[in-house]
Amino acid sequence: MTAERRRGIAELYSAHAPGAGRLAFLLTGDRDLAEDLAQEAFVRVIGRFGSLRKPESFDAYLRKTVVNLSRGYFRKRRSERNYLKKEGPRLAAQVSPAPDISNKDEIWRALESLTPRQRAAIVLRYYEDLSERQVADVLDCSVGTVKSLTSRGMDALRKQMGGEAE
Amino acid sequence: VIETELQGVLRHQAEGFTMSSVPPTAVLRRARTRVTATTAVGVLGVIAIGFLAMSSVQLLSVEDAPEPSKRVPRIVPVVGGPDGSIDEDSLPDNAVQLGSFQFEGRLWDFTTFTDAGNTCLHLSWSFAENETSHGSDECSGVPLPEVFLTRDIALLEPLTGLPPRGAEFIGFVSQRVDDLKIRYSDGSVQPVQIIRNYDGHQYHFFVAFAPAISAGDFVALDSNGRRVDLQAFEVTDDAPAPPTSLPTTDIDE
Repeated sequence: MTAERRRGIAELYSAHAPGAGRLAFLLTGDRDLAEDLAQEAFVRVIGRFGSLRKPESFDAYLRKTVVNLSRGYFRKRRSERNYLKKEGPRLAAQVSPAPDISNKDEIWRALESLTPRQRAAIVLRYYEDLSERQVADVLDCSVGTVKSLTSRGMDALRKQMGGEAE
Repeated sequence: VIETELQGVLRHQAEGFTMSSVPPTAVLRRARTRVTATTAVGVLGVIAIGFLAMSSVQLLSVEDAPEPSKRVPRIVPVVGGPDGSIDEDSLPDNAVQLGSFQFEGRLWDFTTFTDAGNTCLHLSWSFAENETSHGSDECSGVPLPEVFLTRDIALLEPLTGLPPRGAEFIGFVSQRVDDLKIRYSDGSVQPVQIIRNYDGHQYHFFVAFAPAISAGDFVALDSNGRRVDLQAFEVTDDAPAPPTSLPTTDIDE
C-alpha cells in the first residue's frame, strides 16, 4: 500500500470517525463502546470502499454501519439477558454493566428506556436531521415503520417525563 | 416542546463526546488490511471465475436456478426459542430464535429475522462459565433468494462470495448435531452448516445452505447437481491460518 493511500485512510478517519463516534454515543450511551463501534464501523466501510457504489457518500455508509453495529450490540445484550434468565442470578455479577450514562439529564435517561430501534429512529431524526425516508434507508425499513418507531418513542419519552412536556 | 428539548439534549450530549481525530495505530492497521484483503478477494474472484469457465463447471444462473419460492420460503416465526423467550426490545418483531447449541464450551445462539425483505441471520456466542465478556457476529441483510440464484450456498458475509481459505465447519444449528435444520413455512426443512473463518483480526461466520451437505464437509453443487470442490479456489498462501480455538473474550484484536 502506498504512503499516499495510507494518508488517505488517515484523512478519511479524521474527517468522519469523530462524527460516527458521536452518533454511536447517542445510540448506546456508552463512551467506550461508542468509540469502539465508530472504529469498527470505519474499518468495515473502508474495507468496502473500493466497491461502494457512491464513494462520495462515505459518511452515509459509515452512519448506516454505526447503526447496524449498535443494533448488533443490543442483540448481543438480548442474548445475555436470555441466558441470565435461564441460568439465574449467579452469573449476573459477571456480566458487563449497563452503559455508563454520565449525564443524568432527565431526557437523556428517558432515552435509555426506548427500544434500540426507537432510539435509533429518534437520534437519526432529531440529531442527524434525516428525513423519514433517509431514516428508513438507514434502518432498512419502511417509512411507515419509521413513523411508528418515532411516534412510539416520543410517546414513551413523554411518559417518562411525566407528561410535563406535553 | 419535547422535540426541541430533545434536540438540545442530543446536541449537548454529542458535543460532550470527544473522540480523537487521529486514528489509533491498530485501527489504521486493520483498515489497511481490509482494503488490501478486499482487493485480493476481487482478484481471487476473477481467478475463480476463470477456473470455473475452464473446468466447465456451471454455477446456477438465474435461468436455471430452482424456483426461489420453493427453496427459500418465508420463515415462519416459531413461538419461543429453545429457552422460551425472545426479547422484542432488541430484535425486530419477526425475530425467531432458531436454536442454540453447545460448541467448545460455549452456547451458540442463532436467530433469524427479516428486515426490508431480507432474511437476516444472527449468530452470537458466549456464556461459558467464568466468562464475563462475549463475542458476537452479526450478518447484514443478505437477500437470500439472490444468493441462492447465484450459488447453492448462502453466505452471511456477502463480501467474499466464496468461503475463504481456512474456513471450517463448526456445527449444525441445533441442539442435536445430527438433526439441525431450518424449518420453513411450507413445512420443509433444510440442513444448515455454520462455518467460521478467522482473517487474522476477527472471525467471520457463514451459514451454508445446500441441498446436500454432510458433517465435516462443505460442498456446493453446480446446476447439474455435481459437487464443486471449493478448495480448488485456494490460490494464495498468504491468508492466515485459522486458530485452533475460539477467542476467550473478544473477537477483535
